[in-house]
Amino acid sequence: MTPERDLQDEMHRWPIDDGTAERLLAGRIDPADAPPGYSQVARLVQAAHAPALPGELCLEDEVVRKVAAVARATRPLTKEIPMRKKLLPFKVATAAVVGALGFATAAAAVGVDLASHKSPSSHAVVQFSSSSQPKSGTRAGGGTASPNNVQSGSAAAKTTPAGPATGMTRGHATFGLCTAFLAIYRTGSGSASKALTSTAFKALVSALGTATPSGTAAKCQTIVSTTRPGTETAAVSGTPPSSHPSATTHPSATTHPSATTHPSATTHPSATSHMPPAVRMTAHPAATGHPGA
Amino acid sequence: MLGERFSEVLDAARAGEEQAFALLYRDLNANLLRYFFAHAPSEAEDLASEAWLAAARGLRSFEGDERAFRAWLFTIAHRKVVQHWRDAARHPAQPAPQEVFDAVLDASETERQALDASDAAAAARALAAALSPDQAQVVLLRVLGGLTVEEVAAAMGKRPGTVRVLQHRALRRLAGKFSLEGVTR
Repeated sequence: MTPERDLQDEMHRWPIDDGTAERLLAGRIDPADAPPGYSQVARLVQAAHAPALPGELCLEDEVVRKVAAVARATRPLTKEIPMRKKLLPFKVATAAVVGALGFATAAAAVGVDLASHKSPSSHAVVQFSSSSQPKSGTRAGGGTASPNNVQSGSAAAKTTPAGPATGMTRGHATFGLCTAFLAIYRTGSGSASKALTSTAFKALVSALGTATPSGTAAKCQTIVSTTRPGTETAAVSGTPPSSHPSATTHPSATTHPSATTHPSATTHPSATSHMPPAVRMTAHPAATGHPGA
Repeated sequence: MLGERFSEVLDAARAGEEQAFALLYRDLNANLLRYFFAHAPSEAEDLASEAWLAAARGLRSFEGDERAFRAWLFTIAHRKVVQHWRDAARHPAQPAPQEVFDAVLDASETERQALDASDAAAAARALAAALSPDQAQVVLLRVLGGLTVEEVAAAMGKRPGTVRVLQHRALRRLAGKFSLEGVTR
């Protein structure tokens, strides 16, 4: 018989129940009272349960100092916010932006001019129909002329889709160009007549459908005196020729009480830079006879 | 055992008070050190320090009473031992001369020292040396950590029934080994 087989045979000789095993491992069985064969085991277990010896605590100061430092450095646990909650504000912001863009796109598609409602003092754009003004995109009075829907007559006041119509739609642009035109026109110098032939003023003349500078000045005087920048209310007396892009503004603007005295009318950059204060809002002699003046 | 003071000590330890850690250390470090000494005699001090540091890092997430804390600390210790074995397998150390190896790690010598001197750490080492690694883990976690069968099973990732079987086999093996040695002496 080999020692291994002998050992296995010996192992089978020492059965032990659960309770005894529990007490043995807990060190609660005295070696003298241990089951046969377990006295040495009980002795070892009791030895392992011995109180701490000085040598086992010799590193206390060093270890405790390090451990306490680590505990102090450890951040307090905070309730972790789920990622979907963290992203919620960004999602809402994105949805708002997308919604606003979608609304603006939809509004543009149906012809609503959001810009004129949003920013009364913003520079407007002189718009020409593609049919009557092939050179769309020409600079007009320093502004950008971009192809867009054009409204005319009373339809200009509406925000219904007009499609490719004719004439100017923006009171701001008309007002600005007219103010500048009048300021230059009133100087009467040679350089002024040259300036009046610039591309911007050509567009204005073309839009107003006048043949002479005096006629343009008269119409401009009417527009300047009846248009309040910031609204699309500029009245143009007389119907422009149908072959021309017509300058059209809302008819109700003609009755606006503040239209002729609106402060912004006198402080428009294109107007104040050229026009003396005394003559800003006075009617040009050539314009007084105009029906719309 | 700290008894009723345990919860205050734990709160103070969470706040980083050295006095609180000193109380916990004095209460538990001896058995912790014996546990590591039984598995890795030359690394016992380092492993014990690492276990305390790991406990300090996770102290704020711990919830439970003194007994649970003890089980938690020895679960950390068990993982440190397993990691130590893995590291030793990956990076084997240079073999020591045979005479040094015999002097330091001879199991029978350790057992004799344990039986003669009743040194606690040597006794733990003697228990582990006579058993397979799994059996040694079960016996030492139960003897030194005071863990229940269920707690040992949770720490080792085994079923409680498996732990009970390991425990019975370990005890019979210890009985057979030390009874034979006692007879042969």
